[in-house]
Amino acid sequence: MLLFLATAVTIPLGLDLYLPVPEENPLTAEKIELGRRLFFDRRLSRDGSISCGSCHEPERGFSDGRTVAAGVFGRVGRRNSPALINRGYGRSFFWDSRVAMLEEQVLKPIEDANEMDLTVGEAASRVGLTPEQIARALASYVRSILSGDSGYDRFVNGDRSALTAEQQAGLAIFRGKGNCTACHVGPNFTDERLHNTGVAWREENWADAGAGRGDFKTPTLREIARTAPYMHDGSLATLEEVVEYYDSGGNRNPGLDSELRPLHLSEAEKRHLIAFLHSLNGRRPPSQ
Amino acid sequence: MKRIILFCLMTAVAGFAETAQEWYQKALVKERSEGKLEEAMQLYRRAAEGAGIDRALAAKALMQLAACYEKLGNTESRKIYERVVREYGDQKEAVTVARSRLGGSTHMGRQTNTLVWTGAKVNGRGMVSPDGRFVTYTDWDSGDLAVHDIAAATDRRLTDTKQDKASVNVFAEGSAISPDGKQVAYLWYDSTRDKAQLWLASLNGNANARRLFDNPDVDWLRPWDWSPDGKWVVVALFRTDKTQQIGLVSIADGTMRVLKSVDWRGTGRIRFSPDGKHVGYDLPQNETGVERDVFVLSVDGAREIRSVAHPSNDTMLDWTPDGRLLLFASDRTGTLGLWGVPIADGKPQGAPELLRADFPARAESIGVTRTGTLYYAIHGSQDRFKIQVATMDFSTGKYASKPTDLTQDYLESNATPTWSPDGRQLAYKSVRGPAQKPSHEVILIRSMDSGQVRELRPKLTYFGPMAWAPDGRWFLTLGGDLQGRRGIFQVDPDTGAATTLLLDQPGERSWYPHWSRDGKSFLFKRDYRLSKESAYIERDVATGKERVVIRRRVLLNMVNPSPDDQYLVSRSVDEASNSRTLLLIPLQGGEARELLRYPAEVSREDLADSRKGAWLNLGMWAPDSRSFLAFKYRGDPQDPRSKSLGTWRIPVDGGAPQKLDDTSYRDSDVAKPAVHPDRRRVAFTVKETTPRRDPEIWALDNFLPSNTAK
Repeated sequence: MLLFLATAVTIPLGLDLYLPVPEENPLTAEKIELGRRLFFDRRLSRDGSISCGSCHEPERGFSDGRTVAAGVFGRVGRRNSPALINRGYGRSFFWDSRVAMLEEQVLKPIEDANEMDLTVGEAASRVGLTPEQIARALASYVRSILSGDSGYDRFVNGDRSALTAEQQAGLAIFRGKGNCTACHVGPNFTDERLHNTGVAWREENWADAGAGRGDFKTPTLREIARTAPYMHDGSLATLEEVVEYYDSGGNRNPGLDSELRPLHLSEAEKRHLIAFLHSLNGRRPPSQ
Repeated sequence: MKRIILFCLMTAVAGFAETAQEWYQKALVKERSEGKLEEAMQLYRRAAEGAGIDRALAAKALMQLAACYEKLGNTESRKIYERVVREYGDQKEAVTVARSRLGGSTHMGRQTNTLVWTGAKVNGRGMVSPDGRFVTYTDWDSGDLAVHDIAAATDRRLTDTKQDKASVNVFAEGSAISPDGKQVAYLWYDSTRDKAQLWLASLNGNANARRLFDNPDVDWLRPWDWSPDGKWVVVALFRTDKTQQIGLVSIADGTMRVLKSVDWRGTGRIRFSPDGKHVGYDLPQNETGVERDVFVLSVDGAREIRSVAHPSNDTMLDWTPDGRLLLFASDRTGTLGLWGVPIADGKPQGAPELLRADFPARAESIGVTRTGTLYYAIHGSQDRFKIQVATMDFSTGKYASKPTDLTQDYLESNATPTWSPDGRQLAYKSVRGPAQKPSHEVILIRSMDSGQVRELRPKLTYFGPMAWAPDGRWFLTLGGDLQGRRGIFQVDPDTGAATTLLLDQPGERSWYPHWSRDGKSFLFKRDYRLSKESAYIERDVATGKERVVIRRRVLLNMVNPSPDDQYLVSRSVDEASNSRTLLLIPLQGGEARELLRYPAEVSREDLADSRKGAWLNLGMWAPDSRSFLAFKYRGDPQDPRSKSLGTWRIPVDGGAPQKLDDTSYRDSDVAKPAVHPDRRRVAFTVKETTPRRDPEIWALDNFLPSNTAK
C-alpha cells in the first residue's frame, strides 16, 4: 500500500515531497492561514506602517524590489530583502546564516529596530496571541511559500520542449562553463552554504563582513527573474549585471571563494544563461 | 606549577592512549589480514593494559582478545567476557556483546549461517527472491542481468548484451525483485551515452524486458526495492547536477516522484517497510565524515526520523518481515555487528539490540525472505599494497640496496608515494582498514629523519596519488570535491584544505596531473569522449590558461615528464601496422617522435585495450633524462596470470632498447615509483601476496529474538 497522504500544502513539480517540518510545529491549514494574516498585518510594526509583506511581496517572489529593506519611520536596513521562496527546505536563515530554525527567524524582523521595531511581547499583545503562536504560524506560512513546476522542472522531468533552445544552451552553461552549480545546486538551486563572492569587498575592506569574512549564504534562484535587485546588498540591478559580475571572476579579496574565476563567457553565452534563469519562474507565482 | 603537572599528565595520557591505539590496530591486522592469532592476542592484551583512561579502547581490545580465544576453542574467552561485563559497565555496546557471548541472548545460539553460493560470478548487486530460491546478479562476463537458482545451482541470463568480458559497454546492475517474485527491476547502463535507465523483466520464462524510466537529466539510478503492493520501485537517482535523490517510480506508467534530495554521497541501501508506509536508508552524519546514521522517511513525505543515531558507522540493511525491527550494521563495538532497532510507525521504540556480533565487514544485505532469512553477500578479498624504499642503480636497473619496508604494518594498504622537494618527507595514500566500509582514505606524511608519521585528511571526497609541489607548499591530485565534482585539486599539506584547479566538463576526463618544474603550471592528460581523442595539456595555475602539448587519437598513459622537463613519454598505437608504440613528446614544442614500435599481439579492434596483448609500461626516468626504464608484460596487469616480459632501458636518442637482466623485482609490483631528489633512492608501491577469496552469499537464519513471517 502506498499513499500520498493529503497535507496542508501541495508540493509542486521539481521539489522534494519531503518538506522538513519540526515535530512540535506540524503544518496545518489553519496555522498557515493564521500565518498568512499575520504576514500582512501592519500591527506588527511600531508605527503600523509595514508588515512582513511590505518587504516580501508575493508578486515579486516575496522580495521587494528595493536595494535594501525599508523599515518603520523611514529607516533603512543594511541588506536586500531576500526572496522567501522554498525556505521550508532551508537549513539556515538570513544572508549570514545566523539562525537555524524558521520559528526563530520569523520573529527577528519584528524585533529589529530598522525593520518593525517591536518587542515580541508587544507584538503578541497587539494581535492577541502568544509569541510562540506568532512564531509557529508565521513559520508555517513561510513553509507554504513554494515555487516549482517551472520550465526547468518540466524539462528535467522529461518534457524536452519545456525549454527553448536558447534556454537549453543556458542550462549547459549553468552546469558547465559557468560553474553556477558550484553553489546553486539541487532542487532549490542553493547549497545553503556561505560563500565569499567578493560583492562586499570595497576599497580593500569589507562593506559588510556577512558571516565573518565577507561570506553570505547562497540564495535560491527560483523566481530569480522576479526578485531584482540582486546580491545581499542589492547592488546589482539586473540579471545582466549579475552575469557580468561572475564572468569577471568577482572582486578579488583575501577570502574569495576558490570557485570564482573569470569565466570568459561570450556575449551569446551570457544571453543564453540569462534566458535559462528566466525559466526558473514557476508556472504560477509562489503560493500566497 | 599545577598547570605544568596537569599538562605533563595530559600529555602522558594522550601518548599512552595513542600507543595503545596503535597496538590495537596492529592486532587487527595480525588477526584479520595475516591470521596470526597468537601475535594478535599479545597486542590486544597490551592495548587493553595500556589504554589508560580510554575505557572504550580497553573494552574493545578485551572483546577482540576474547574472540581470539574463542577461535582457538579456549574457554579463557568466558573469563574475559565476564570481566567486561563486571568492569566496563559504562561501555554499553561491549557489555551487550559480552553478555550475548556468555549466553545471555538465547536466540544467538539458535542462529545458523549457511554459505549458499560462492565463486567468481557472485556479487552483491542483486536481490534474493521473497521465497529465497533465486538471487539476481550482474554477470560481468557479459554485463547481463542474470539469476542464480540457489537450490538447483544453475544460472540463467535474463538479458542478452552479446558482449564478452573484455568489452562490456552496456550492463545491467542493481536489480530488485518484486514482492510476488515474478518481476525484476534493474538499472541498464550504456557507457556510450553515460546514462542509466530503469528496466523491468520477468524473472520466469521469457524475460520480456521493457524500459520503465529514462530521463536524460538522470546519469545513474539504482533500484533498491519494491513497495509491498508491487506498484512502486524505490530508487536512488544521480542527477546531472550531482544531486542525489530518493525517488519512487510508478510501475504502471514510469512516472517519478522525488521524495528527498541528498548530497552527492547519496544513500546506501533503501528498503520499504513491510507496511509500505516508510523507507529506510542511511546517510552521512555530516558533510565531511564517513560515518552514517539510519533514517526512516514516510513515503507521503510527511516525516523523516533519524532512527539510528550513534557516532559509529551505522548502515541500513533491511526490515524484519513483521516490520517490528529495522536491521542495520554497526561498528559501535569495534567490529561490525548485525543490530535491530524496534520500530513502530516509523519511530524507534527503544535501544537497538545486538542480533549477531560478528557480521562480516564486507557484507551487503541482498534481502530478507518472507520467512525471515537474511541473505547477504561478501565481497572477495582485495589487494593490499605496501611501500618499500631502495637505492637504485639506473645503469643496471637493479637495486643497489635491499628494499626495506617503509610503511607501518597496521595500515591496510599504502600506495603511491611522493617525496618532498627536500627529500626529508615521504607522503603516500593509505587506506585504513582492515576492510572498513566506507574506506578511510588518508594521506600519511612520514619524516625520513625521525620516522614520525603525520596523518592528513584532504578535504576531498576521494583522491588519487599526490604529487608534491616543487616549493613544498601543495600537493597536486586528481579527485572529487565535497560536491562530488571530479577534477584536479591542490591540497595544503598542513591543513588538508583543497583548492580547485580545474573541474571536468561534460564529455571530458582529466588524468595524471603532474607539476611543472617551477610549480607554476601542471601537466595532465584529458580524454574527450565524443571525438575519442586525448590531449596532454599544460595549465597555468594562476590564470587557468591552457596550452595543448599534443592532441590525437589513442594516447594512453603514462604522463611522466623527464627530470629535465624536456619530454614526456606516452603509450600509443599505430593502427596501420597494428603495432603499439612509445611516443617521445617534446614539452616545449615540436613534433612527437616515435621511440619504439612493437607487435601488439592482438587483433586490430583490441589494439588500444590495455588488458590485452603485449604492452610496455613506463617505469622511471634515469636521472640524466637520457633514458627510462620500461616494463613489458602480456595480458591484464591486474590479473595475476599476466606474464612479465622483462625490463627494458630505452634511450631517448633513438638508440636500441636494451633488455636488462635479473632486475630482481616483479615489474607488476613496482608501480608508480617515486625517485628521491638525490636521484638514488626510490620509493615503490609493492603488492602484497595474500590468498584470494571469492565472493560469497550467505543465508542467516533464526537471528531474530522471535522470528515471524511476513
